[in-house]
Amino acid sequence: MRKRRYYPGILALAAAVTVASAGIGTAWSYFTTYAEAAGGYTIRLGDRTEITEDFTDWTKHVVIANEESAEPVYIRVRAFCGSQYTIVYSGEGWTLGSDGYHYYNSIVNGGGTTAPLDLKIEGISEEPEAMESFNVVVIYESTPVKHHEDGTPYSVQETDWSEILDTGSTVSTGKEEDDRETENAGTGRTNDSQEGAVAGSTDSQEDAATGRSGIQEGSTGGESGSREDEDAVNSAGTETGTTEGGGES
Amino acid sequence: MKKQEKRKKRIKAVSPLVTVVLFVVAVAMLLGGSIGGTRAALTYYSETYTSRIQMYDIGVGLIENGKEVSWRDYNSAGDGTWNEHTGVLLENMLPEGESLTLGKTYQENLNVRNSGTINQYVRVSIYKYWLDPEGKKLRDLSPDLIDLHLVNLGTDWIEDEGARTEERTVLYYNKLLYAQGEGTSETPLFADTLTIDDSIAKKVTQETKQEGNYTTIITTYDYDGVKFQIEVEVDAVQEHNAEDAIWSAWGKRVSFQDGILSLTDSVE
Repeated sequence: MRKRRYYPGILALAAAVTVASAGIGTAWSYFTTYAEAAGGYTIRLGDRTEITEDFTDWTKHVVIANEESAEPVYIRVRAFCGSQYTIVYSGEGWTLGSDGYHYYNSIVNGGGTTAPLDLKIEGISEEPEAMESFNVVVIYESTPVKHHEDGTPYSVQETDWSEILDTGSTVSTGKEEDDRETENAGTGRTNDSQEGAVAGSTDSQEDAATGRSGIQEGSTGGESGSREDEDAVNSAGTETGTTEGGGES
Repeated sequence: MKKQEKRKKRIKAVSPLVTVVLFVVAVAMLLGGSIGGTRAALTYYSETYTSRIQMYDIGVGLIENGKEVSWRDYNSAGDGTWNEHTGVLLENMLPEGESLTLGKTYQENLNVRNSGTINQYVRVSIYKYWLDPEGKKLRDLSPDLIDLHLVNLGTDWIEDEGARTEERTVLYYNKLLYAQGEGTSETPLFADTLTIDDSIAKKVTQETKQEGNYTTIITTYDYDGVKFQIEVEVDAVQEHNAEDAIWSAWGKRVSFQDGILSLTDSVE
């Protein structure tokens, strides 16, 4: 009985809906389109240089190599020795600068090396004591080659060797005293202890830089000698790398 | 008595079945009524026959250094598909084997072309950001180090200051971009060079390690292996009813003076 009452109503409603929906048209939208593209490149930073040297006949032959796949660098070298000795430099491709450094004229690319630089030590006296030990410290520095806007590299003269690095955090896993000791190496020591010191102790810091845009130094030290050398070493820069290449009589 | 009975008799109950059948027939007639009539073919010919074909195919393309790198055109076949291609930006910037040089200015001419058949208004969204070696966005390295030099600002391309963020720049072309054959169908350049600032190489971290008698200082470049990314997105909208179309498609209120577009609610 209920069905009968509502039935016509429902049907009427259905009919009305059907008629109304027959009149729905299509939707309209504006013409739009788009195009997109994206791209980028990876930045490769980092260089590592290594020094190799030979010592024959009172002459050190120094060659500095730039690691394979490292960025191109400029290199400069300077040697320090006691006042009683002099060092005579010779080498193709090296120019003496006004600050006492020898600059390598060309860019050393990754995997490349410099031409050898010969450092002849003169003034070695014949006395047996002096012949036993002397100290010559060679420092080398490298800096990445910067470029102008048009892609041409900075020349050796334009390169700023004193560019300050933005240094981040420093993690020290050693004691502070040791660091201080290295700075003060060469002050107030006897010859004996210096000998021990140079032969691989606290004042030999190896700067194994995996990439620096400032100063990366490596120096080669001979046997212990006068303290002046080490002072000179430590005042020349913050980072000194020493590779022990002994010079003996 | 008899009259009442007669009245009662007249009010006959209609069976529900009849009602349903009638309803179905009504629906069928309604649907059938919306079918159009048949069309007859043109059975006579005349000497000259002029027909005006009007196509409304919108299409836009992004051009890098004179070459089209990405495009999306409504297919002239009219079947609802698109002729599209998405290319890679900066693909030919470096010669083979060469790595990116910091501080060097590379040529990067970018502009937009109307590759459709209707006139349109276009805008360009430029995104710049850094990715770490794993591909995640680097949030603490400023996109300003990616210097994409924008040109013709103010004269042909207007920047939407309100939409500018560190990563994003949105430029509107302030004139109508005509379809080919109707007028200038290529915009002037909006970018011409790309340079990566070399101060990214100055950030280093030093680590000091003490092993026995040796002290080792390791200095590492913080940003070795990062990748910069530039994304350019071009949007185009029809010319007809441009103000409404732009409002609907891009959500921007614009106004036109002598055919020059200007953003009305931009931050001055």
